[in-house]
Amino acid sequence: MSIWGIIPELPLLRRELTELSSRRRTYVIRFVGAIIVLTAVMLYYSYHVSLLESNRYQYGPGVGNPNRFFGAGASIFKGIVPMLFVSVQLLMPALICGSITIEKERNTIGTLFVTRLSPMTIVLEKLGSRLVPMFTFLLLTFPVLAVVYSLGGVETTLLLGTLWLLFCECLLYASIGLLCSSWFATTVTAFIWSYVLTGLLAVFSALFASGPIALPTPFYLWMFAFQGFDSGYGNNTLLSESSSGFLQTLAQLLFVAAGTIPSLIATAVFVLLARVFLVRRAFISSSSVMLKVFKAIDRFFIRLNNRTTGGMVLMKDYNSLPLFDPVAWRERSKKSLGKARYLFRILVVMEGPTLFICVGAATLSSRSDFSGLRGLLLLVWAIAAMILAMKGATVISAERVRETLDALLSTPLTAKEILTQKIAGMQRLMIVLAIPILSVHLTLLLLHVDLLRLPSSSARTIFGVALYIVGCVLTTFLTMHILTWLAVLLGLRSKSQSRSAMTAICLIAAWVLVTSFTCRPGGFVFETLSMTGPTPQTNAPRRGPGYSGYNGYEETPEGQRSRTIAAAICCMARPDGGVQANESILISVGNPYIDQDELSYAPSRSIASAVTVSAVVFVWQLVMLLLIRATTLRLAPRLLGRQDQGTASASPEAKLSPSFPVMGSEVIA
Amino acid sequence: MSMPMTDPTTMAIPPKPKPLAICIRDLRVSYGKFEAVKGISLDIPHGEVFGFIGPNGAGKSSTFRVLATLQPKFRGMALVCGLDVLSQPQQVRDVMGFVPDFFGVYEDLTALEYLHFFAAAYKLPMSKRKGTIDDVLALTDMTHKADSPVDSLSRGMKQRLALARVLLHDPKVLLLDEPSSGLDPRARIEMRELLKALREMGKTILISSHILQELSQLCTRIGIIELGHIVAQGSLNDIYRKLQLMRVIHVRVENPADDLLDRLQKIPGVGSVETQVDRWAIKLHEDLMSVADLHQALVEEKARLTMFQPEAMDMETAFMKLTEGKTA
Repeated sequence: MSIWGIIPELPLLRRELTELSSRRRTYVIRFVGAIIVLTAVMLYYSYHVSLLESNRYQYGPGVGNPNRFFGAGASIFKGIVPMLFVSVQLLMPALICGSITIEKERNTIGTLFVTRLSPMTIVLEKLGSRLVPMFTFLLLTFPVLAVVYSLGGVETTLLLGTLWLLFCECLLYASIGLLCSSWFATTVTAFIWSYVLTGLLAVFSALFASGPIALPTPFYLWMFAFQGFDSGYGNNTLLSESSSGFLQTLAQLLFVAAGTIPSLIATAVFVLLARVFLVRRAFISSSSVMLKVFKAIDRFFIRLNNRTTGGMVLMKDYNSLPLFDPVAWRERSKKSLGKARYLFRILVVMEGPTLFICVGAATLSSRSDFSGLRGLLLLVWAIAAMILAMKGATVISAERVRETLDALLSTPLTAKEILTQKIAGMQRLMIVLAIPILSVHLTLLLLHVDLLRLPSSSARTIFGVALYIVGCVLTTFLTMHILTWLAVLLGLRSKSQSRSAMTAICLIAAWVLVTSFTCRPGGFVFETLSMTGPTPQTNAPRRGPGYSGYNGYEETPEGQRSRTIAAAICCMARPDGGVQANESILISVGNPYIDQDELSYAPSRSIASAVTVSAVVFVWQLVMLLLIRATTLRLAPRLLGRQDQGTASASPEAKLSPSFPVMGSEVIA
Repeated sequence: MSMPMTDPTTMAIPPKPKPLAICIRDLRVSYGKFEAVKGISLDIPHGEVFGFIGPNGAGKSSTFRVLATLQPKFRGMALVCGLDVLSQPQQVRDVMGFVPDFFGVYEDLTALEYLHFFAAAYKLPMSKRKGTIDDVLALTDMTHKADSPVDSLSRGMKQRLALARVLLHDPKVLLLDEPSSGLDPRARIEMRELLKALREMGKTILISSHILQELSQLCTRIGIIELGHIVAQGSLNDIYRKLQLMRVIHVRVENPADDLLDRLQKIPGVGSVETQVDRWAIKLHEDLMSVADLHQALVEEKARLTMFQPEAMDMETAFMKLTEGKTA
């Protein structure tokens, strides 16, 4: 006990925080994270202030008077706070998912158990050790909030309620990550499942947000209490905009606090489950969970077959041995994500729901809104990208962790052969992941183009459809290879599977998110680049079959050219640029009623423009793939720690001549 | 003007000297600012079993990694069978087999699949592959475990499987980093016997171990390394002689008179005689007098011997004397 004997010593918490503070990575992540969050907050702040300025200017009074900002703090505050909630949802799982798994991976969990720390103490101290960095991260945004608060309009209820709900949000997401960390054997699996559960919670919260039964997560409680929703509830908040008097403030705060009770109960349950699993699953094997599941399914089917047919086998498993490419052979025949039979099961699991949704969309959609299908496309791409990034990043670090890399590297296989065989072993997986993606593309094609009337369609349409199909197949595999090789490159140096997988997934996710927001049609980069050309002119219908303009403007050829260039540059910057460029082909030949302004890089429906963009992006992605692949293979020997090509041109005999050591010239030290 | 003709049959062509199995000159390996190996030089002829001894962090594994072509950054020169590890790494891998100080498992393979995997990695011709694998399984006494998953093998079995792996391509030089580490006594004895068999087959073996007694029974020469320096190398007897280590002989006599003790101390070659509860411990300079001569001298001094027990030369003593207990 310390500090007057009241606060316990908390040795584990102290050790964790000491470790955290001694890592350079902590400060780098905090710095980069703070820059991102503060930039976003400041941008929003300046945007809002400029909006206020322009509004006041428009209506005349108050020009040049700083008092015009008074009372504007509440609306800015309400714009900024959701970013903080989202930051918690994104960061908290990453921070906490390794807290217990790292003890399992280092084999130090047994050492903790033999101390006088109880399992609950271990769980709580681990929780505390990850909450502290999250709170310090949130503290970084407080100066901005203080400026906003100084503008006035932020009620005490709003301020205190927000702080309480942020605290509860941290607790809830931390407890989910902690539960995953306690259940799983490795940080990689805990990381993935933390985000899966977090994502599911976010999705279900959003689904039920406007319904009668709302999932009372702190974020949605904050939305209900302070911001209100546009749909269903109008813009009314549960709490009044202003609270007058101490008692009313107190009552409103108590109302907010009462609303968080379910979330706090859920947190407590997750923590208790983490405590239970901490002991039960402390020494579980880190071997592939999926492989175990598949083997269990195999055993079940074999038993079933023995009972029903007496063990009749139509096609016997051919247990092959490696002939020429041993590394590829092992990837294909011994891994859960390589064996044909297991991959078929994964395909069924992925393709079944995908087809179901696609058929539903094809029969129920409104012929002008395909946002559901695009969401599905995003989802199957996200799953594919995550699996490929994880698999690619861990191809070498898994060998390092299992201490098999040195044995492999001391064989005559070159680093290039090892890596290319590893990737070759992933080809089947790529095909399986590509099938649902291509299914969604096919559905989009069916919705855009009437294929039955295609033979009688114009050559332009037939050409566009053919190009779309070929483009989809090519860009899907091209993008997959880019992601895989990039992940391999990022994971080459890493000594830990968790670190390599998390680095690859986070970097690819950051690439996708940043370019999706900035380079999308209507995004900052796209609009800036589009506006560099001549100013568009307006004199055309805004929608419908005759529409060929952009945002209601009839395009000049120069304007069209500048937007084609902008589209090409933006698609080149995006990892999914090839997919986006292909979609612009479809839109330019397909359904004329689609609300295209928000969706496509070919808003003017010019197939020439769309094909140009697609071709440029395809060539760029091909070059990018070759560059990443060449860089990876060139750096591989050095990063793997061995010599593949001879460096010295002179023979050793020449170098040593005339005293080249030969047998008999023994040196005595 | 024509060149004078010489009859090639009459010319005495000197036989081309066979390069050493391992030759290291002024090897230096650094990790950042830390220098793990500080100028090691070693010459190991073919067929020799060279023991590499040193405390943890002395630089043994770094030296092994250089020879195994897994350490691209180093200074100095390292040759395996005359092939430079820097400029001819692929050729070096063909003539060398490396067993690291840990045994990672491909948990999804059986022992047979494991060997087939590495046979393919060593690019063994298909026609020879099955026969070679059967041979190495037999040599390492692993035939009955061929279909067992590698993950389920005991540590001793895994080490034998690792040896089987590096024998697949019939290398001339074996680099074995702590092959007996963590093995139980039976597995250790079996491993020693296996290494002796490999020595009989003419393999050159560079082996490191902490178990000094084991190396003394197996190695033709040893090198003692500390803090990146070789502090001694040569045969065991050379090192004992160099260190002027005295052999201790335990003697029990029926007639332990004082004058007998005085006479014994005056025998040339006897360093000192220590009186213990039931015996005398005689420290003998072996370079001046052999153990047999001491026995003869004692008999001549009318000592009625009931026990004459020379203590085995102790490598641990040599190790302790040569090293200062400093580790990196």
